[in-house]
Amino acid sequence: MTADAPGAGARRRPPVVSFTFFELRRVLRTASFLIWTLAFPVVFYLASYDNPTNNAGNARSWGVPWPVYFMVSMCAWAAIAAAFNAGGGRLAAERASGWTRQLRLTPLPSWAYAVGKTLIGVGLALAATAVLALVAEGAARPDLPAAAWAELIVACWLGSLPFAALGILLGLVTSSSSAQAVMIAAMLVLNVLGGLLVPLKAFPPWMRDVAHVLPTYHLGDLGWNIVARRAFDPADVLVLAGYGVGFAVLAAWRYRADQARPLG
Amino acid sequence: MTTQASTAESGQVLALRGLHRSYGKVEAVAGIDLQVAAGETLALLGPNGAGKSTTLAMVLGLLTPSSGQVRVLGRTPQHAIADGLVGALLQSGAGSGLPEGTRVGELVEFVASLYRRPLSPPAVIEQAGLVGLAGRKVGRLSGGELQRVRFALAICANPRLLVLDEPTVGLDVPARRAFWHTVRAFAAGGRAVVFATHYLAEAEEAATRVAVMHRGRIAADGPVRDIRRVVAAKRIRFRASAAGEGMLGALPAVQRVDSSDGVITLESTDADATVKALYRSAVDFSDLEVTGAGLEEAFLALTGEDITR
Repeated sequence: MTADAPGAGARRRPPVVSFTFFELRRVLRTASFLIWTLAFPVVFYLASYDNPTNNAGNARSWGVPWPVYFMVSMCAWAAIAAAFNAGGGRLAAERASGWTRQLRLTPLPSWAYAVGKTLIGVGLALAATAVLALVAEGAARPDLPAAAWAELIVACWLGSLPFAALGILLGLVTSSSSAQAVMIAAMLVLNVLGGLLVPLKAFPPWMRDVAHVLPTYHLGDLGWNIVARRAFDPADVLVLAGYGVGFAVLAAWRYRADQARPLG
Repeated sequence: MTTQASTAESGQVLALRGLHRSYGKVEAVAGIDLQVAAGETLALLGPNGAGKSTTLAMVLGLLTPSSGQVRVLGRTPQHAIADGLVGALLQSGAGSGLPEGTRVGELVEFVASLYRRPLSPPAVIEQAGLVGLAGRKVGRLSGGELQRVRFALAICANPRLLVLDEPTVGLDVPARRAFWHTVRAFAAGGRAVVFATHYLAEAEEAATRVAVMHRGRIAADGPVRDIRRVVAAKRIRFRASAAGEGMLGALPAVQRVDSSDGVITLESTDADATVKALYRSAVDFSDLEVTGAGLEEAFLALTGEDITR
């Protein structure tokens, strides 16, 4: 037995911190993740903010010009994608490969695993939102007061929490082969039906009713109210919080069920 | 031949008492009492479905016993793991058991950082035989190298008890040999090691003590040499028209005599001695054939039951 680390106990980082940094390093190394979550909304924004049809036909119909309206949509999209994928993106694969079980054989508490994944998710959501806001500011010059920028970024950041929880939930209920397809489909459906790609005004009435019960719409609405300098709607926060709690409770329940599975 | 090891009195690391685990009506583990002392390397030997993995999962707190108790140095499995007393390498199923997109060195550093008194990462890398591979991505390792990484993660805690569940499945012979060499070197520091295997040769090669598991119970438990005696049994088969079974049974080292249609089968713990004596005897035989008794016969000898039935 050579070299027990002397005094290693003294300067030890809490396991949850170790785990979060370890995860962060992995995520930042995954090119497909970075492209999908960070680059996609930016590219989409740059391709569509100056669209003459949208600008002509829909200008100011939500109290704000289209480039500003669409900036909010894409900020929300970026935050949702980052939280969703960073949280649960590889969870199904990690369950299948036995890595989550290996972690259970260490002092890392299971809550720390969920907290670490969530922290990475909302951290990247913040980064993705900020990147998109910067790009939009440079491209479209929306001329917003500083307070509106700050509120928008904070709203998207905190509003991404329910989606981090949903990502973890889906990572727990899907198999490693289906996880990616299910997650991409879930995100596209939620985002598109929530009015983050095509404005709600373009929807038929029944689709608008659908949008009103989706968390994606309420995150967008939070942002649209901010850039229009309208009073914020408490329903947006309540719906997002309700989804967040619901997803978290379901995820905790699935996690327990997953642990009780018989082993080979 | 249920001889308890005499080392159990002092330095006990693992204690299982009346351990049961059922899945519905199936009793996967049907009452196990077992003690493992510091310095012992115990092989849990048994065929698939004997309850080895279920037992080890309970030792590690991954499964809750239906009844009975597991104690690791007097603690529950969960406390023992939180205190860094246990390291484990489990069967990984389809995947590698390691997260994609990481390097070997990072992985070792991360896992070591979770413990209060870990081995230093360089020491782990060295003891697991990973020198020169620390910068390698996990996805670019061979099967034997992957298993070494998984072993490295199991020893990061500097554990007092090391649990290995069929750790050499899928490895080729040189990788297997190298792996057991690494385990023996690690165990030499006065730790307890418990591993499951269905290879008799591995139990012989790596263990100081063997517990044979059969239908959820310990069928036999003893030092390696006791088990080896049974395992070394050979089957001697020949044709003989007329030979007294009593006379054949009296040949040296013969354990059992079967005869059907003029074919005699002897089971011997020392085939050389039996065959020499057979030549000297008055028995007129032909078509002599000596084969290893194999796993099934060894279990039969140990348990008195036919597991293939």
